[in-house]
Amino acid sequence: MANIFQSAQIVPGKAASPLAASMKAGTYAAENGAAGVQIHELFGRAICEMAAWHDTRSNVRRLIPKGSTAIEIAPSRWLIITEDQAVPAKLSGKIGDKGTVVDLSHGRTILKVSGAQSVWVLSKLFAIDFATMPLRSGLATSHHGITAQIWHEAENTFQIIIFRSLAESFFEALKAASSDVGYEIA
Amino acid sequence: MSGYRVEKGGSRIDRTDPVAFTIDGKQMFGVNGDTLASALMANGVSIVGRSFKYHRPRGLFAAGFEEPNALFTHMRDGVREPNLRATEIEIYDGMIVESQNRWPTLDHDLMAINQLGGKALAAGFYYKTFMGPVIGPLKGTRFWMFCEHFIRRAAGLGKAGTTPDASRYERVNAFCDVLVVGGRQEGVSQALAAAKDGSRVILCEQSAHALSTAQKDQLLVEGVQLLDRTCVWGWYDGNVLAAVERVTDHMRRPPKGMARQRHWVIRAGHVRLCTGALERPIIFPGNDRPGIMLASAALTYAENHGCLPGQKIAIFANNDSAYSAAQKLAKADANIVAIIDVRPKISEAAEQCAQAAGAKRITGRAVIGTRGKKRVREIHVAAWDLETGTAKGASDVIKCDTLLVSGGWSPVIHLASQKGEKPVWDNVLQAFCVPQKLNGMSAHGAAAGAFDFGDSLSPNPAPVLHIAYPGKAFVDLQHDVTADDVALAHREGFISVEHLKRYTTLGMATDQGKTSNIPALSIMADALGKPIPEVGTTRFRAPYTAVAIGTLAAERFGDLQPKRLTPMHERHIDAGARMYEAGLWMRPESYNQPGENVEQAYVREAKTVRTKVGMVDVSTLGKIDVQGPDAAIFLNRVYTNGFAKLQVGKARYGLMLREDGFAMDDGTTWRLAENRFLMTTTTANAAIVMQQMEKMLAVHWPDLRVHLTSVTDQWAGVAIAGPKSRDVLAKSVTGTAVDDMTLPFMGIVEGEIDGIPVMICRLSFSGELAFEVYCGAHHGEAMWDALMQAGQPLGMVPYGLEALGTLRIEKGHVTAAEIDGRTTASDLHLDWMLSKKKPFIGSAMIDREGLTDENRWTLVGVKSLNGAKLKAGSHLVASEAKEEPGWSLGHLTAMCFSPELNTYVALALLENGDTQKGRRLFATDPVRTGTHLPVEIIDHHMVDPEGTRMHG
Amino acid sequence: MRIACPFCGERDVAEFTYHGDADHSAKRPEPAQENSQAWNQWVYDRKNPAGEHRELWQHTGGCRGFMIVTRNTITHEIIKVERVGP
Repeated sequence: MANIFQSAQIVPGKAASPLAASMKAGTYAAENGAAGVQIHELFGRAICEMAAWHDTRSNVRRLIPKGSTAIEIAPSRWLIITEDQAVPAKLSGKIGDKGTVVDLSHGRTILKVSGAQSVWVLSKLFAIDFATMPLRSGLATSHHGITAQIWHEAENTFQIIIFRSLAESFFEALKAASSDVGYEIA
Repeated sequence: MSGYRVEKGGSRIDRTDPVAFTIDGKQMFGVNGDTLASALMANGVSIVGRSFKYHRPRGLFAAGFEEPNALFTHMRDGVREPNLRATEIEIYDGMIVESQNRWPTLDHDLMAINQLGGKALAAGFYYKTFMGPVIGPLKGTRFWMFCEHFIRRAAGLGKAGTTPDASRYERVNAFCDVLVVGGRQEGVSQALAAAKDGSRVILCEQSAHALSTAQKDQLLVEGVQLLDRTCVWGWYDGNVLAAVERVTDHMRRPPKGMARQRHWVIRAGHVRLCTGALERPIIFPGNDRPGIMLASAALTYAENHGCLPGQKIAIFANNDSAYSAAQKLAKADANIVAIIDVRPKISEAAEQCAQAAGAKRITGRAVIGTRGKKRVREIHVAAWDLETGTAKGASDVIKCDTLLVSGGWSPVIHLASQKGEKPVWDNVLQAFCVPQKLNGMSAHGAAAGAFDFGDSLSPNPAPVLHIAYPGKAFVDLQHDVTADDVALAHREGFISVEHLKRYTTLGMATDQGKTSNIPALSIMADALGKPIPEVGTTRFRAPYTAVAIGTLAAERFGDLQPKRLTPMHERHIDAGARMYEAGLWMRPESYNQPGENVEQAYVREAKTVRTKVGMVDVSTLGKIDVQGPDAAIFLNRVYTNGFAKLQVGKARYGLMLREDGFAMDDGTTWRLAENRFLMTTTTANAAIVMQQMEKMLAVHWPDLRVHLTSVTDQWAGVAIAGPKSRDVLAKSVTGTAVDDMTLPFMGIVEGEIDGIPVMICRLSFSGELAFEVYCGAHHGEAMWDALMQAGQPLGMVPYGLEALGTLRIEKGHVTAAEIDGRTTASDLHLDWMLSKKKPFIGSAMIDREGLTDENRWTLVGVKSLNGAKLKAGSHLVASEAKEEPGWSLGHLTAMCFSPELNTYVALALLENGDTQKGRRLFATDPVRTGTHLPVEIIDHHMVDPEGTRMHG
Repeated sequence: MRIACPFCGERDVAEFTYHGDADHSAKRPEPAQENSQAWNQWVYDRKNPAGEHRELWQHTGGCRGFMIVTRNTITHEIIKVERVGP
């Protein structure tokens, strides 16, 4: 019982992004012909939430797979993003009574925003001081009631993780916020 | 001839770059760098507005945000933006503006007849005439309702437009160590100093072109973020400041994609106020004639725009700053004929300035009146006694076309006042200043009362702000409040400054009394016989200046809330579904076939479910993963019924109460493993249930090892309902059987549909044999397609919210319409779910007197007796007489046309409902539809009360 | 208003949800006290002081954690923020 809840692997050819209809590749330049940011969706990643009990933090933290992105969104609770589809099931198998794992691969949408104007654009949507956000760090915040996690992947490169059902609305807001500096959809 | 452009001066304009604009349909020319105000002055326009009540002609009074008179409507692409100050509007080629509050034109306003009314429109006129009881034909609220239309037209501001605003607005979130408000010399120095100390600095300057190129370069080098055309208008808790940046308002063609205005939200470690000071007038009879303006304003027009307000300029002052202005104006070729000063003696330095200006000094005298039809032509001057504050002796006449006034200076301390800092009265400066110690904020330069008007000139005015003499002396120019109005209000008992302000509307116009505040206080102080600090001042409120609603809405303009879409959203659109906003969710209401209306569609869909099979998207149900060794104990406390002994692989319907014993939410919860449950909640309550459970775990039961995670978006779900639903699954599901043995009522199995892993639970909301099927959300469309394909040969149709509602109403199942926060489990016939064996949230409160009263409103069914359509929200009454319906006995919570009963039915909450079956009542809806319909009370289980269909 | 979440750091108040008087919230009566005065008090009685007040807040737009915010209801000054939970 409960196999698909432990791991809801994406079946090739059967999966569709919530942005499939609205995300049209191309350059939507600003007045000066520039595209200040690039936006693209990281579709098909395995995403899960792994949480420890208050006294098992170190046991659980050790389980974070190498090469994955792990954002500590709450004390001893990590959002783990990886290209390895097997990770949610593996973690569920390993964690035992030390904590819990919830597969969210279908429930979240990841938008990557990069480019010279990415901080300017994201500052319109989030009340976060991006200038002081360390590289390769993450946080949990929200835009107008849309819960979001943000990962500072590299200089001027961010991943925004949002609820799947709100992806379309957020994408619209992101495009509007980018329209003065221009954007390119990959 | 009045105002004009001189040959020299004008640091902000480019004389070689003419700009054409249209005002009231007439073309005029200014030059690049002009504000609308300076362009009007250069064109010799004297009358720039008509006053609020009396429609008196008014001219330019100031040069900045404090301007009370010159309000215009700006038009772009058919969109009107009314009530903009001409002093803030930067002209551009092709700009179109309209004057306001005049008919037919500014120069000839027929409504000026209101002036003859004079006394009748004094303070409290509206209250006295229109409010209170109806006595006779010409008094009271009813009379007001009759007159309102005419009065609103006569007294008012610009007209709002009806063309939708196509502009984009946006918010920008900013953070800094130091925010410098105001970018003149003081602000630039403060910003540079802070940046050199290593602070992150933002400098906001409200006007355009205030900083020189050299200053901008310096700021850039030091890393100061400069926001031009940006007015900081509000202070909020935690040093969060709001500012508006006018991004494209001055541009002929705004760049593609650019926001018109930006709403800056700045979180500042420290705020340095370099907001300067505002000159205020002296109030005297006839002080509102065009041509009478602040001395500093005339200087601004001369220095920035190369314009002079008139050819024969007189000055009336109580302080030295006016002398410095006179000298500078004379240098700009102004003809200063006289300086009248209330002080009997002036300083040597002031004397020298006056001489340099070539102006006649008239000391110890005051302006007691003015004349001139459309502009001041002469002023009347009499001896002034500083001791008694009275004019005496005969008056002289001075011919002039302009009178500049200077009553001293008030530091701009609005942001400190908004913060709650109590202003301190400085008797020497005759002004309210910020207190010495300001937490998280400091004032600098003129904003701190440190004035510098040049060598040896004193900033200290004589305490004369009002020349008491017969005649209309206007305190608040924009709201037409006179010194007599203030005195009258005082005589009528309005002695608190807050009351007086509201009764006279003084300082309540769009300029918020920026120039009138201190003179008004001085008049009140005179009336009360108290010094100004004892009269006190009102606290300033945000915004400092008017801000467009669109700017505040920012990125949400035209899109108030985000929308949530289910994984099958595109399929519903493709199938021609009418979409309905349910909270944030977009859900299909009905799948109308060509020629069908909503009712025909949902009746067809519901019938198909009852006779064959239908499929509905239930992905919106709240879904919470409840995991941990104590998950079962936790759910046993949260739900009213038992969950500890629920078998793995089974689901159970659960009910939750609030702590006060009222019903909160219901839903099914599935046990997926010993320590893992999938809880479903109603769509509407998902967030509330989650928060309540998180609170219990964090605050009250920290010993329980349970984790909660919202998985609403992780799973796409459909319900397949109807006698042929099992056939649909049998055709499409692999990897498991779906027969009654393998999948009994409330059983759960896993399998695959078209290669997609799914989980199936047999449960029913419709009362039919039904299943809920869940898969990963990304697979939602593929699963929907596969099930549709399997179901079509069996006659399956998709059904929407309306049919879903119909099926549940017929079955008597409750939703948020009945679990409305006022109903108990017993009211909804769910008392069988209240466990007697264990405590649960709300259990301690359910037996209270009021909750067990037999006359409580309980759930019943309602049937229309004459076939008329019922309306949810109608009240149930006993009286047949529509006009005298009597007491409400209950109300309808939801209605539909029932295909099973072949009439309109409803669910209702009815007083003592259990004993009312078969009773004839009336559903009355007096306000909306005006209907009063005969109904019969029936059982809430209208269809298959034994439940044989869903169990079969 | 800005609240310094003990986990996420200082954030805008819009990210937080207010859950009422914190001292009151802490004293949930034992379930056995059926219908007692204590339950009635707990469900209905709230302090509403002018001055310092201990309030229960949740960072719903962030880590979803709970915290007690000691806040002056007159000046809106936040004096202390303490995490609540296991």
